[in-house]
Amino acid sequence: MLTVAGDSPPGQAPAAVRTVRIAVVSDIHASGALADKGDTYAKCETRDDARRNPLAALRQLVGDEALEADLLLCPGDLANKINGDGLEYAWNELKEIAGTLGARRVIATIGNHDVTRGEDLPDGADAEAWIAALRGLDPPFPAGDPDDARIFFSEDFLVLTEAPVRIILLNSCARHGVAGEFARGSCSDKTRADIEQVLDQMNEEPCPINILLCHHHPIEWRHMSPDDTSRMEGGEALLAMLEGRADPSEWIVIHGHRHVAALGYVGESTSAPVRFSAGSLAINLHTDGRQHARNQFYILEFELDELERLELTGAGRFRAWDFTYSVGMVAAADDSDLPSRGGFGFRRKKSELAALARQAVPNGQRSVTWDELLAHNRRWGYVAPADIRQLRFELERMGHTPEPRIANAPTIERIGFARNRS
Amino acid sequence: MLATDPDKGPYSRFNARRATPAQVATGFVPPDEYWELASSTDPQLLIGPRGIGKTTLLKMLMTEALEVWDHEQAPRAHREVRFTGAFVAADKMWAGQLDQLEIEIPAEHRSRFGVAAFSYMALGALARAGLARIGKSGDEREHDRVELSVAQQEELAAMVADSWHAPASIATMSGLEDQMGINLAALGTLMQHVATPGLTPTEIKTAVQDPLLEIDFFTAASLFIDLFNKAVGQRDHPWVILIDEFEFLPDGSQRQLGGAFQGRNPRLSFKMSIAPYTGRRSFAGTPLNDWLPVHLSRPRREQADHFSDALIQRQIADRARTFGDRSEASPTPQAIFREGGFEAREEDSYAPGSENDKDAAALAAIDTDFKRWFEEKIGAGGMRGPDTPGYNELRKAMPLIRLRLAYLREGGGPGSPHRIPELYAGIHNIRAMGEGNPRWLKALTHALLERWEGGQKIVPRDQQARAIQSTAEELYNTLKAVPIEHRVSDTDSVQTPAPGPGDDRISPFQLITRLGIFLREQTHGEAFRTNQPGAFKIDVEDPWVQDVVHSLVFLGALVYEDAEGSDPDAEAVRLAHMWAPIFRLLPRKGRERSLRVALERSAPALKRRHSASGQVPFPEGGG
Repeated sequence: MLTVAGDSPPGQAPAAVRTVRIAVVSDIHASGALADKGDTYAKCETRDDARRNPLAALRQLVGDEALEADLLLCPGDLANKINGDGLEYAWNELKEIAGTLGARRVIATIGNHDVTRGEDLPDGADAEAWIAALRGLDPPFPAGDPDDARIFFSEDFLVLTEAPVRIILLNSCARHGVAGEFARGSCSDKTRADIEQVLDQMNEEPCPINILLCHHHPIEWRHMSPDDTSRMEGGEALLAMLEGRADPSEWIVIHGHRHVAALGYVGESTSAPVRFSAGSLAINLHTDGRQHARNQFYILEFELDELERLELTGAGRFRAWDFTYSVGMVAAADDSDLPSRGGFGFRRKKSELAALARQAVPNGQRSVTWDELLAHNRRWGYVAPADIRQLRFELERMGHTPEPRIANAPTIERIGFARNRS
Repeated sequence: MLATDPDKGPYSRFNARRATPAQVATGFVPPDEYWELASSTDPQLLIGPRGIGKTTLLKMLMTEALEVWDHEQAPRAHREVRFTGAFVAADKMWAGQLDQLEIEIPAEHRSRFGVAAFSYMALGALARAGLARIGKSGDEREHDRVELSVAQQEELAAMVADSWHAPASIATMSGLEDQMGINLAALGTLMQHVATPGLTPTEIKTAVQDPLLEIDFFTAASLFIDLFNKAVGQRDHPWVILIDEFEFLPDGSQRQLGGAFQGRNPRLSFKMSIAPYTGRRSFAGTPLNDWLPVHLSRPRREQADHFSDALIQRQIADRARTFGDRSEASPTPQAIFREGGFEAREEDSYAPGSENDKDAAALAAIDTDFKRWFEEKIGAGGMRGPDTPGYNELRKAMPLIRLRLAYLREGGGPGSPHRIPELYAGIHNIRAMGEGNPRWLKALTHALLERWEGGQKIVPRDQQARAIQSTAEELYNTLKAVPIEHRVSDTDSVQTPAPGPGDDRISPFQLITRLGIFLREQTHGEAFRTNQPGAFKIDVEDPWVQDVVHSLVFLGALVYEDAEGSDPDAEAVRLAHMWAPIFRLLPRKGRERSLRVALERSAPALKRRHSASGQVPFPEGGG
């Protein structure tokens, strides 16, 4: 059990406050190759330069701010273009950063840059040639245990339990060793069925936090990238399976690949999985074409007692940091893909949120601050940034004034209500 | 009227325009003019060239700056600044957009856009200024803080919302400030729409009836001020709009500010900064006639030295802290940089065998005209003491003797080395080149203190020379890119880029180069002359050249040769002493010559040095 001691009245033993923190580092694209110089900031030769290398900056951030996490997850693309030096460098850095965070484990999955494409393999290459670099890592990839590695590479998935967290580690690059299969991710019907079977076997040991960790995005990303064809085939079916289960909480899908951070819900019901798309820690976004994205690092936080009290499942909070070249790691800006703080899991329509906000206005005032909203109802801390944006639009439509007066901001500091309006 | 782009001028990295009030307050050393501004709520016009500190002085009247200013005079500022300062930077981009659309937007509407734009900027500044005063914690550095409850803020915001074109539901000062930015952006969109080609007069007429343009700044500001004052129990508390760079205000608002806003509310006043070198000789008969001028120009030598030393001392203390030295007593500028190479030596003797005597003899050995001069003035027997005829003339000529000797010793011809001699090191030269201009001084000391190792260590003279040279060269090179705004009438101007290759008109860079070459040839020519030229009577009739001269004064690259260097009616200019090492000159004044003649005489010399590309090369010896 992951526990942190909490405050308690004098004379009483400290009450256990069950808080789980999960750090997420994605798409590092580390390299030692001169040819990759412009592609990525995570270069072996700048490993100690915190202003120019995001991994070094992250190490410094974690130390300077005494950040903590119980687990460190990496949704793949540790290396850039299967660069061996980069892969080893990133894996070692993750290990070191995890140590500083106090994390028990580093858990990663395979990205398309971590394996040799089938079309690039020499004729007669053995079956393991395309994952040879990963197999050679120490401690063993993907989770530090040789038995786990055997299962993962043979089954294309692994289910880990680090109570109270359950993680499905999916290899969405399972077919990349076959020529012509590199362009997209996949989750075969068999893999999906096997996952479901394993989860069913674990029904007697439910966990309040359920995570699917994979590299490729499980659904299309057309609204952000009209030409997107690299999503995970079989992803919708996988999500549907997870949505249909009677697990204690909704699944949280953590993936990378698109280098754009996003947080929302993907599915058909209000119990649809949460989708956390992690931005890239270190890819050079200018050459990558992502002009409005930022290099980011995250910590997801689950305060289990509070979630229980609030009767929220599949909910949590996040913190995000931006890496800015020549500066280092700083708290994420409001106009980054994900802001410095936020939440997810409290799912309400914008009209309901507006009404809830109105109820929180102190007597004698016609405005309410974010802190006052939280004091009135802690669930406000679990409203997703996209829903806050929608709430802003709704408030403006109703003639009220959210502050700061920045269009499309993912945060609210205060809401000014018009007189005589509900 | 000429104005040059403030964001492209020299030393833009030391430009207070981009600094927050707190950043400006760090290292601020108050000149006398600051107290003139601080102690008065009268409308004042702060006049001075680029880099002289106008923006800094205005920002130092803001609450945010006063509360972080750490200086022995800070308590005095807290006592004397008895108003709330709201800083507005004229948005050159906005004015530029308006100018670019002048053909598309009918004249009768252009000024309304300009007035509305300024109004929203100024109202946003008022809201920010109010916000900065809210909340008392008892910290002794707080300045004029007040208590204003959430309900009171909500009430105030609601009551001004209509006149500020803000939603009635807006609840805070911060919200009001943000909303003014939104209004400004919307105004820009409206302006672009009105400028759309093909829009019919009817469509334009409809568009300009947009409520955004119906903003009455005076009424809106007065309402806010009076409500705020009433809410905090300070009914007569004055507020002052601090407008930076009047010359960049949008069209229309300049006229408004000149007269319309004055005297209508005793609790609302203004202070503006302006660069005077705009072709305008005085403000008599203009709307600015009633403003009290505060001249922030190059002060007299004594004041400038005192100010320079105080500023450099502050920079030294800041630099010392980076070495971990937090002691009260950091070394003085004199201790770190020592005396200048052109100043009198400690042992000011001209006796045989003295350093002065050796220098004179050395020069006489290689400079035949100096030898002739020396023998004529002093005699073949040489200097024998203060009673020797010509002694006083020799004393006055010693700096020039050292300068010529330094360059002649090192070659001095076309292939001469690019490094300036160590003569240019020393605190006297630093003061002279800085000319009491904060931005110039900061640029110099920044480069110099990078070479300081802390403690009581001296910056070696060769290192000082390198730093001074690199600073001067950097500044000199930036002149190449400075555009010129050529005023074609009293109310209209056209911005033109600096003339390029093939353009016969002289550019600012060329003018400085020509004058510098002229003076260099006078200083290092065959004839040894003690009465060196150093100033130029503005006797050219070409209005373009006149405008270039005035724009260079605006930048600080030329200085009016009057007692204070500020009078646009002055008839002569001199090169800023910053150029002295570039052109191998003494950093001091000289006698007046004709500008026309100087430009004519230097042109052939310049043409001979043109490279194959047609570009004017960097002058020899300047790096």
